[in-house]
Amino acid sequence: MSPEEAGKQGLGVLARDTVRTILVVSDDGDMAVALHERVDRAYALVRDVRGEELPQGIAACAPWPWMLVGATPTIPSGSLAELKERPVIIHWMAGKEPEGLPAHAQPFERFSQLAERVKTALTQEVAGMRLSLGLGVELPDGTLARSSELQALVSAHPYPFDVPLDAFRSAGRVLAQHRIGWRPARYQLPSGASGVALVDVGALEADGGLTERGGKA
Amino acid sequence: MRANAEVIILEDDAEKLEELRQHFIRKRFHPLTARSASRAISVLRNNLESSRPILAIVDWDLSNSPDHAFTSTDFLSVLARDVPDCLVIVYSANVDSFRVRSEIHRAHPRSWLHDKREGDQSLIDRVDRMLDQTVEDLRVKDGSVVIHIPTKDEHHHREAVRLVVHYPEIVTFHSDTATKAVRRFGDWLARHNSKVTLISHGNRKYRLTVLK
Repeated sequence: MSPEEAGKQGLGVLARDTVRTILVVSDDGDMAVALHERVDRAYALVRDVRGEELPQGIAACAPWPWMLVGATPTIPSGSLAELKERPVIIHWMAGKEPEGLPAHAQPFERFSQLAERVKTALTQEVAGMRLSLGLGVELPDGTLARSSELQALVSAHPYPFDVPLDAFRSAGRVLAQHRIGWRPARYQLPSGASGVALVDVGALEADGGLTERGGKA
Repeated sequence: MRANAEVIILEDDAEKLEELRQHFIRKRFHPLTARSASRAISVLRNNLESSRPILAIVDWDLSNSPDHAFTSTDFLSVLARDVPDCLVIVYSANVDSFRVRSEIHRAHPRSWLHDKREGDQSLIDRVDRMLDQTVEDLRVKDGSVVIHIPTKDEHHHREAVRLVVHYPEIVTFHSDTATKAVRRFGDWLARHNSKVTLISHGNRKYRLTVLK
């Protein structure tokens, strides 16, 4: 490959990778720079993209971005459709949320609040499960689970995802295989928000049981 | 016998480039040097089959470069795509600027930034700290050997060095040959009862962790 061809392959930020990624979409990159400063790079890669690059940015994060952070009032419609099918944590600056974002997208008035939530998501612990460095979830028995769905559920806990329950099958399998008494279920929080979250099966059964589809009866 | 580990340096100032080159020769590295981004891309691509640099040092501002066909952004993007297992340090006098930081990280999201205003020695000290990494009972020597400190046994493989200098981050290895070398290093750590162990994340991704 000549230098001409090599140089035209595109920005490194759009190179495909499977590590845990925080995809930051903004008009000027300031928010991504600030997050770079605050996020331990061993835990997550921060990618700084512009609105028109979002489809390529999402495609570069395999299987999908762990988190999408935004400050742009519009994003391509194709990207919106993808975000409704996959458990991507979504944080946005308040007042700039694009129309049609999944219901689990959370607005933040101040960047410092958003950055704190990112930190919480990276260090979250649920039933002895916590995020491993870079990728996956460390289970209570010491195993490393690569399930991106489980990674999303642990990070977002207790906030639910506005995504079909079927999108969490691999998380359910991992939890069952390792005999962890939690599972993804359609769930309604006291706040009224509903969606799929990790639930303690024992506690839910005591509270009225689960429906056939995993939802609260 | 061991091959010296490569370092690729892109610096438009000939005098400073030579100073860096001599420093790495003294440290027993094999420096690959370029004064322009197009030359750096050629050097990298021409050597990729036989060797992959452990470290890239990139001057962000290439105004004195002999040609301007490509920029430091182009070179950093090639590094990010083709050699993601290479440590990258970018230095600039404008590293405080949000715009410059954003441009650098868009070209190479994993690059480390260094402030040029802190002087040449500061850059060399920073690079030496990155390369002469110690993790628990392991130490890197000359960029090409990992030493198990209690036994003084040596493991001669640059993929092992990559893992130690990237600690605690994940490294994505480029070939099955490289991952075999990594697994041999994992076995070597176990045989030496090292406090450091190898973790596989699948898809040729590995990292080191310290046993509790």
